[in-house]
Amino acid sequence: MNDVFVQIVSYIGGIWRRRWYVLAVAWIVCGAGWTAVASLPDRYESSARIYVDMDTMLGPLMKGIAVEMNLFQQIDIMRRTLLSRPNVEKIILMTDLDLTVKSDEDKERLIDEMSGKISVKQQGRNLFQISYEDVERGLTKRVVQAVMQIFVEGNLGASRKDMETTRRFLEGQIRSYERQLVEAETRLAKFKRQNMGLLPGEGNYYEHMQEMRRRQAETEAQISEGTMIRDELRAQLKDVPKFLEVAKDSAITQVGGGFGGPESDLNLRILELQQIIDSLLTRYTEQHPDVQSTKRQLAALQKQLEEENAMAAGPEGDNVDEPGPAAPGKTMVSNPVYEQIKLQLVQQEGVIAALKNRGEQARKAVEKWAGMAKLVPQVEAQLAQLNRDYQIVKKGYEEIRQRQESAKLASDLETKAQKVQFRIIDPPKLPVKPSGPNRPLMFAVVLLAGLAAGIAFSFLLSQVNTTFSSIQRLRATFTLPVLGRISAIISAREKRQSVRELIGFSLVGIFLLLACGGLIGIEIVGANNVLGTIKDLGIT
Amino acid sequence: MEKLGDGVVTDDGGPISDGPITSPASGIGGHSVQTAKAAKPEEPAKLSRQVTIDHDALRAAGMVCAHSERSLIAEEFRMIKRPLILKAFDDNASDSKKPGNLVMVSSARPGDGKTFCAVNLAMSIALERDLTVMLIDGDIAKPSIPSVMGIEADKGLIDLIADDSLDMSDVLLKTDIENLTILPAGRSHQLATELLASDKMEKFVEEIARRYPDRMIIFDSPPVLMSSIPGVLALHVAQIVFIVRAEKTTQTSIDTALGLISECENIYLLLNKAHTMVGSDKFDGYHGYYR
Repeated sequence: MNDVFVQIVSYIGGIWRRRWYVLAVAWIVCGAGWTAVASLPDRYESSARIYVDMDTMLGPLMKGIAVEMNLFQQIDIMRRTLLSRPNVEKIILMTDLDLTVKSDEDKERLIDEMSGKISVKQQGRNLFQISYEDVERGLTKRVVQAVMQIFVEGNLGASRKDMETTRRFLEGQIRSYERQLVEAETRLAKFKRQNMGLLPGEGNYYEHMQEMRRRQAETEAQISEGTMIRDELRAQLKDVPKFLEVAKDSAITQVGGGFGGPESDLNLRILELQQIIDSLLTRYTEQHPDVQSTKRQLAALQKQLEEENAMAAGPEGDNVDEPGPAAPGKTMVSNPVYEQIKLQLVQQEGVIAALKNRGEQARKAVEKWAGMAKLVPQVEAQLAQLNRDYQIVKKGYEEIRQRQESAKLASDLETKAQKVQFRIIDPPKLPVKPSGPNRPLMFAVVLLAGLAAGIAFSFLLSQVNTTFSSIQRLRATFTLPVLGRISAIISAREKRQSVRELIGFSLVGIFLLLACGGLIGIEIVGANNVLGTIKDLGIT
Repeated sequence: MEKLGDGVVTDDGGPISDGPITSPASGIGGHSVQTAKAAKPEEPAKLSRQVTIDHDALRAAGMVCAHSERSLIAEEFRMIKRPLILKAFDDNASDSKKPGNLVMVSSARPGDGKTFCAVNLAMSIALERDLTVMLIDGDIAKPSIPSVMGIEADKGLIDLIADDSLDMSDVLLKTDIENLTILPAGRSHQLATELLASDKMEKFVEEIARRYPDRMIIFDSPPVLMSSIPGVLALHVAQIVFIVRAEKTTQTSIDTALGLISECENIYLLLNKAHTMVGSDKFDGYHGYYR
């Protein structure tokens, strides 16, 4: 501790030894500083006091918020509202300040500057003071007046403008979302279309598959059924004779001729011819040419019939179609029952063929569907994805629409809400006396700075070229042994000299302080008054 | 040089003198009595000149003088001389290279108080019972010892070295203080430094150091940063007292100067013209004890 103390003392000693430097530097710094301060231009301030009902102002903004804002926030809101960019631009226009700037960036800077310089202070809950300080007197009043005017015009609608912007933005968003929504829907529909059978839900793949199989099974069943019936019919056919023995004129022949095929036709014609002959014989004799030609025809037909019977009997193995010799007075006609059954059989064959065809188709279909089985999960996933996308877009769209609604509501409210309540209490006045700069304070500060600079300078000097005033310092600095110290012998003359020097130093120091005091005094009293007094003194 | 070392001629103003001319230094007052310097060649013994120191002037200047045994300055120098003496006569036996009783007083710049301290030191040591002192003025360019002590000086060290015809008794001065003799600087010489660096000087120094084992030899020298002599003298002396003037001598000067006299291994620092400062170890308290 003692070391520190000794060190500090040695520093002070070092500075004291160079005390004239302290004063010299102080004088220089003070001289320059005081001149600068004196030459600062006066600044004037104009201010106005206004009453603003904060509730009407904050109301729309504070919708739904229960917490009461603290004063700082309130004043901040006030500032922001009042000194929004468009408002500041307006102020610049109204006060003709825009004439001082040419380029855009200058204008920007001016706007920023003004925003900072116009001061808004809160003096009570609803009481505000707007002030503006500048070198130009007239300007200060004009600026504050411009601010008042803005209030008067109720043009606090920066928020309104924001609303407008918001609304337009929302609309744009909505349109874009609508587009997206439509796209998503189309995509989804297309996909559903393309993969109809594979989609989950009603008519899904598995149901289809089952359907296919069922159909196939059904068809198969039908086929087997049909085949059974056919076999049955075939069996029946075996049992039923093909031809029946019937009397020549019996109704059956006539009827049976109906379904005998070409044989029946011949029989019919023979019968017809026989009837014609009989009728002719009733009128003519057998030598009549008509009768003879008809008989000749008849003979031919009978011969043909015999031939046909012989032919029919040839290719067919069984003797179903072969009527066989008929008993005299009787004709062999086709058995209608046989014909019927045969018809049925043929029909049945047709049915079976058709069924078989269908069965083939069904089988092919089943195959195809089986092949698509692996697509099912894929399709399911894709569908889920598309659904999801669609849902997202839809949700976004709905949100935007909601916001739009609320924005519309807010702006409606705003237009319907009452204007901000506002009253001017003190209008701005043209300042007579300058409000700044605070020269007395500055003078004192300069003095202190000068002294500090002087001391610092001396200290630096003492550190740069160290001298020694004690053997401790010597010991600390050098490794060589120190014999001791010899006290200075100060002669009387030297003593007197040092006293004189000290007095001189003090005088110079005091003079410095007096100079500062004098400047402060002049400033307080007013430079003009002082000059006037001096003039008076000079004249008288 | 050959004349030295003989028993016949003494050079320290000691009692061995059988000339009728003067009596040894005893009293104060009166001006210097001139010795028959240019003695007749057949004179067997030469005596050194006798001078009287102006003690009043010394006292006025605040220096150690015979009648102010208890002043502050005297006490301070008592403290200062002790290490020097101890070193001088402690090494003398062992160190044959440089005799320990050779002391040079110097400083960085003029005005630091070299002569002041050298004279004071000499005076202080002269008060010792068992020692004798030879004070040699090494500041050839500006010899200040004569003026400080109020004596007249003519030939001196340089003449002794330069001129072979001279011997010690021609230049040495005896004073009214019994233990103190003074060798002035001599006439200024262009090649002073070279002379002081010569072999002759070396032999001279060796001789005077060894001749009387109880003798201290103190060299007053020019400022180190202003002259080359201290550097040369540093070659010969065993101890150097380097004066640092309080609040004046800068560290850089000291560093430079010490570098120039680094030939000597034993350098002591001495703070001169120190002001009383808070917290410094002032001797004054002790001084008041004796009152």
